[in-house]
Amino acid sequence: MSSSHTAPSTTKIAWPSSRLEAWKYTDLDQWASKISRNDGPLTPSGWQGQPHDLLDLFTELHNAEPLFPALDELSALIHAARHGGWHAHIPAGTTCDTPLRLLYAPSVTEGWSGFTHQIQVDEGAKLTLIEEFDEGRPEGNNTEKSALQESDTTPVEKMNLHNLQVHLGRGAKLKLIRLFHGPAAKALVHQIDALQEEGSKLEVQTISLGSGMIRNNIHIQQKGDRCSSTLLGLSVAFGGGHLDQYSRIQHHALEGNSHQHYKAIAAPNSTTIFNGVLRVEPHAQQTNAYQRSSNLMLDPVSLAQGHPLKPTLRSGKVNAKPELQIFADNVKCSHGATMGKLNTESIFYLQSRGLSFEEAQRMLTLAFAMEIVDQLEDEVIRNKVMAHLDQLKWQ
Amino acid sequence: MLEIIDLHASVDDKPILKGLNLQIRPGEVHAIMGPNGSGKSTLSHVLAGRPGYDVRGSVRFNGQDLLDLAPEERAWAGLFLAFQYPVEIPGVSNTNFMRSALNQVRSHRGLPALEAGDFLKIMREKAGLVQLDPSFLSRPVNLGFSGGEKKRNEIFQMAMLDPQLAILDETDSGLDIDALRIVAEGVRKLRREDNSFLVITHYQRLLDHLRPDIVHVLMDGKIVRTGNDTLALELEEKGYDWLKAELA
Repeated sequence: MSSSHTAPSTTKIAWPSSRLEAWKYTDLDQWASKISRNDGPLTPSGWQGQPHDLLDLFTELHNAEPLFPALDELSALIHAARHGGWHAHIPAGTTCDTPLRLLYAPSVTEGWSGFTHQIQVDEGAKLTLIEEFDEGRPEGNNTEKSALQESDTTPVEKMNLHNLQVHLGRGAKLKLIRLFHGPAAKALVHQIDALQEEGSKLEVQTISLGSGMIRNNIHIQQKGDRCSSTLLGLSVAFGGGHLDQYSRIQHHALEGNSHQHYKAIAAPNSTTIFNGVLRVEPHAQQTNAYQRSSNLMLDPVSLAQGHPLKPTLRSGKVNAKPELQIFADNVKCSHGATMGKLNTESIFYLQSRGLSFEEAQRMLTLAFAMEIVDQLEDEVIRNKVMAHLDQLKWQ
Repeated sequence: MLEIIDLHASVDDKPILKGLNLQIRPGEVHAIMGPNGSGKSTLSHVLAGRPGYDVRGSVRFNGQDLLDLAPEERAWAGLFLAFQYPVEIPGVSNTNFMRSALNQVRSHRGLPALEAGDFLKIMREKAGLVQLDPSFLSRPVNLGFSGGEKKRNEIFQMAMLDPQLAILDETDSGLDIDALRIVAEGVRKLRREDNSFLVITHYQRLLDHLRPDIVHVLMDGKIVRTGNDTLALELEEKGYDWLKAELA
């Protein structure tokens, strides 16, 4: 199955301004300007689903109306200029025991493509959706550039933008498990806009890794009472990668629950960003919200071992910004953000047992990542993530 | 095996070791005693290659210039430090840690990597040596271990890596009497004619089990007295003040 093609009406795009707080660390206009051939004809890249008995739930979307009006400028922009997408409707009471898998084919064209997807889970229905965005495969295994690559000079060959609208009916349950793999010269923007009705449960597990640019937005509106949203994430940036994880959870109703745990690793010359907005509206009493962000910055070996820094290599960079806006008085909200480097005492301990500095760094970094990887609820994705991490050179 | 000549070490321009000399031959067990702050732990750190020290002097280990080697190269060459405060490493299991470490050490000693089955067999055997519960092997390194369990884990690692020279930095501190006996027995069983031990301790009790060949007293960054195991007994009985007075 592949998307059909609707050419966007305009090639001049008004990207969200980096003056907006939500886009402070990722300037889409700048990324788009690096697209090496952005004046050519726009052609869509494909997406495909693996065979599944739910597949007939999907229909072509390009003429479909959105599930709800776009929540922000970016989703409106993607919708207006989309090349295709899919739509899934899980009828009331349906329980899908087998997860639905979607594999987004790697881009074959240059320029940018926009996709709008929709998923409607009706009252009491239940679904697990597993998505892989793997831009890395066409070039084989040698797509990971070394840390010496200077990100600022890398032209962007391809930018894909996806908007996924999610509507969860009363008591509906949706679990989304996603792997984003973005090699150098690829830019990927993904935005979830989710509306939750009473008693619904949304879980989103996200792994982003790469040496390209990935911006991941998760916008959740808890409209009904007693909703629950659980977000888990790991970002691993290396080789000049720029991975930006943005979440915005809005509690509008009573006894809402949200739980977020994100980790990020920024290898030398790379950047990760975490921005978590939590907004508890005045009527959202007895909200229970928790947000945790743990960030690891890796030093180049030369710096960590006290040698002069090579001019082209800098330590990994992390921006972490929790934003809690609480307008209700009877709520429980907590958050924690930490950032740091590997413990030198631990590195020395491992070295003293015969592991090289690089191996010690690798072992400790993987251990940091595994806390999240172990919680991934899909074995296929978990194994792929582990395979990616295993072969990574952290320097 | 180990020859230290005029070793100086300082941290942030504060001198700690001030011209230390020491020679250890194969098969010998040496004990270093000394009051707090005399430089005992610094000596162990400097020998193992911990960063942060400004070091001068000469240390030869089996003919190699030890001070020129990275910490892992010292481990490959056959040096082992049992830490006074073993480090907790969340997320890394003891088994994976030891498999990586042992295979690294073996490859640098010209030995093939171990098959999984052989590795597990050796690991169980060495864990038994210090009565380390096998369940600890699958747990993250030292995480949530009691003080005694951590020290047993150090000796277990030592047994796995089979060093030529093992430095035990206050391995007896924080151990109850039974744990001390188990650890000491473990070390004693590892003694051979071709390996040596440098035991840093405050107490006679560990030395009762290990029977050192030579006992040194370290004070103010230098070895001020060397004798046999009766020196340790004398110190246990009288403390260090008489020695200080004698030296003054």
